[in-house]
Amino acid sequence: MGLTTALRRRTPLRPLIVTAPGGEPARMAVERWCDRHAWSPAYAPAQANALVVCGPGSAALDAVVAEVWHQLPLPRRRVTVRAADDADAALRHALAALRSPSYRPDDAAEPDGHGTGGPRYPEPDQPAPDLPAQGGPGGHDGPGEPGGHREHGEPSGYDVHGHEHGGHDDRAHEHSAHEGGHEHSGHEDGGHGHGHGHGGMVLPGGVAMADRGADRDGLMLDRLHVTLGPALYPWPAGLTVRLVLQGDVVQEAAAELLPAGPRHSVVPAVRLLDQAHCLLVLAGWPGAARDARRLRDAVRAGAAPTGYRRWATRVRRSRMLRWSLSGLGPLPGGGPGTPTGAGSSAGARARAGAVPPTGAGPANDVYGRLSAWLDGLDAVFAGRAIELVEPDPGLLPAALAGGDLAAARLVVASLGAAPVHEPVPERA
Amino acid sequence: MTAVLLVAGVASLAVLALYGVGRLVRVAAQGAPRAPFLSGNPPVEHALSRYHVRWYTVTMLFLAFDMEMVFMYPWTLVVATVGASAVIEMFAFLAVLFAGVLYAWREGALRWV
Amino acid sequence: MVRQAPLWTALLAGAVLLALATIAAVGRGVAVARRAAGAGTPVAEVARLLAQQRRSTLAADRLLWRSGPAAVCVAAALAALVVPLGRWTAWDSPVGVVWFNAMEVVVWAGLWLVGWGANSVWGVVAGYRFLAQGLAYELPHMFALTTVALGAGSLRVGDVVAAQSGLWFVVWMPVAFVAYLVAALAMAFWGPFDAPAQADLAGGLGAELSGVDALLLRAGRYLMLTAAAAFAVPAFLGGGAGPLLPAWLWSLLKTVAVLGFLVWLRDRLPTVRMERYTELSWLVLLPATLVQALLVAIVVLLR
Repeated sequence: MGLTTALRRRTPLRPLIVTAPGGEPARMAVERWCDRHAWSPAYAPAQANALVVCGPGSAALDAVVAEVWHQLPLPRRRVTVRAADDADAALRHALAALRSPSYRPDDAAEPDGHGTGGPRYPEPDQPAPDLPAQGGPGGHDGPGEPGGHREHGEPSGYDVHGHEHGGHDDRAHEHSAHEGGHEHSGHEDGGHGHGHGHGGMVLPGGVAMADRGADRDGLMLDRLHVTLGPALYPWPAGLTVRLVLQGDVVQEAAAELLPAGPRHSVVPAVRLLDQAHCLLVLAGWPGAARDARRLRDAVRAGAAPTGYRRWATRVRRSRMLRWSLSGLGPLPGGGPGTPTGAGSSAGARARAGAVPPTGAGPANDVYGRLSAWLDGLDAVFAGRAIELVEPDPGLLPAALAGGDLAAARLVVASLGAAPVHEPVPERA
Repeated sequence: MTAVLLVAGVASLAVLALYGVGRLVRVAAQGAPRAPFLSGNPPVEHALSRYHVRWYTVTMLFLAFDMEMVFMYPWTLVVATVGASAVIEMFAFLAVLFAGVLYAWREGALRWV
Repeated sequence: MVRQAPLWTALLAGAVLLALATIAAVGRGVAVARRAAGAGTPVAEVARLLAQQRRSTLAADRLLWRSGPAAVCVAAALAALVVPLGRWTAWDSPVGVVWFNAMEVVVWAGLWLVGWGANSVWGVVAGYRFLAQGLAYELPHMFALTTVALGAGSLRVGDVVAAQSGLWFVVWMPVAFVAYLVAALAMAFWGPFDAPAQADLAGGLGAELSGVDALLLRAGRYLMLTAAAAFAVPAFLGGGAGPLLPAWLWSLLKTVAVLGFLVWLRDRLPTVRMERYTELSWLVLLPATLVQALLVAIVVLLR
């Protein structure tokens, strides 16, 4: 259709970025690419038209990625960016495919992840899924395909999915069979049992209703299990946090990490600016977040961080930011600024003489940790060396419980690597 | 009033027309329901649960003031004619309500985290 | 001074609202990109969302979910109906100020339905967040509107404009004006009040919306922001009053100025956490608007 094609030609890329452990440089490259086009990444699959997996894959992440992929609406592309250098080509490739007039939303031509994840919910009552009625597997190979975006012989290092069909199209048949068998189109109230009764109750999709548990005031209230990560943006790579919510209050939290990926030697300034960028995105300050990202990209490219002072002053002076972030996520040890306070990390204990950058030490909350990063950045750009202490994910559950869901993501973002300054006067 | 019906009708038609255009140019029909986004994890329960609304006391406070607004809008029309008594009575009433706000604040009703 | 215009101008009001909202979206695109090339991004987004597949979630309450974004758009158009353009108004309602207030509250229902309908934890939390936000911003907003009506001695928007022929209300009701602008941001969940659609909730209200549904929610947000900016002009900024230029142009220019300011704020301020804002709103903003109303009432008595 002419109009569809014309509209398609203008499509921006809205990637949902999933970062594998060790994929941070690739993620930064993807963010930079989006920034150059003034396109912002998506925060949920519904908003995205591309699923961008940054870094090396792992079996644990693949299942999660397959589930998220299934949630993306059409048109969509899946992109794997293994290394930062591949981002540009891979994303341009995906964009060209999305914009191509011959793109067909043929699900059979998309890896749907049904071998690995797929919907675990019986949906025979539904009308056919997003499969065009015509064209089975193979029907997507229409004539007039412009060369390029369907070739398999891509340069190594990245691949744009969307070509693999073998083994993924079984669902097409499955669903057309359902469609023929059950003509309940439009009903989704789940009044039809599928053998997923929970205690005699038949619930839509075979998913249970929330069960109750005592809250902090001794009331019996519904508890909702919500998992944050690993396919979440912005979010630390490979982290999974399982929350038990009542309303939006976190009752319990448990954290787990995927196995670490290849380690990259990241310049401390890049690391701190990146953390500040993620935190500011979540704090809802797009202007300052964008500046942090641009500074980060400048430092990565080896350029001078022009405008750092202005940005840092702006962030420090913002009363609203202080008002919003202070008091959030105090750590049990009460450690000053560093998430490894209270000596919970051997690394921190080893540097027992380490002191927080400013004399008094920043407060033990999200705002204090952000201030510590800024102090660390000040030191770096003043030419002093700093060391970064890795966060201890073991601190997360206690820091999250009792807060609300909004605070949870801010607290997680604030528990990044913390700068530790060598105690200059004492040792000298 | 005709204008209201006209705009309501035309705006609704515009929304429907937008859906119509979307239907014409969409790349695919609406598919089967997807699981809600949970960072790539399947949902354990339906999200529509009995929600712990921690700020429900604020709604009580709000209702008191909201009812007051029912009187306040017509009141604005008669202040000039009725004179000082209208102002005194209204603001005495508002002062009573605001004392309630201060009490609720002291009891911690305006803080819920 | 402000006269009832023929019926067809009601449609013109809607068209002007849509045009101004488009300008706001394009302007925001330019601001984000910090170069003119960004102007295309909102347009391209519209094209993308039109062509995108709509989606549904497991056991979603589809009817309520879909009607939410549409309700926000229609409510914004109806709210803008009572805003005069220069010397003409499409609907010279005797209770225009109350009408605007009522349409703005329809947004509460619309956004709540959007959040509730998706059966997704992000939407549900976002819907409740917006209600908490509503409880915080609505009272100062209503007192600001009452103060305006009090100053004019009328609920008719035309009379409000006429009452400002000597002195604009913004000059002697500055607190009400500030409270009104804060409420304008909050009702469009814009700027520092965008917690219900924030990144920390994966997009919140819009977390599960795609295609035309997502387009309507975003459009509704811009339309509501525009309607709120437009109403500030007759309420506080003297309507179409101004030298040299025709009155209708002054109305438009003032609306664009207020709208531009609201859009500009978006990048300047971080999101306000509602459990902190509620306290501020009830203990500082609410008494401030009450004192403002009292002062205006005394002025009305004395003159």
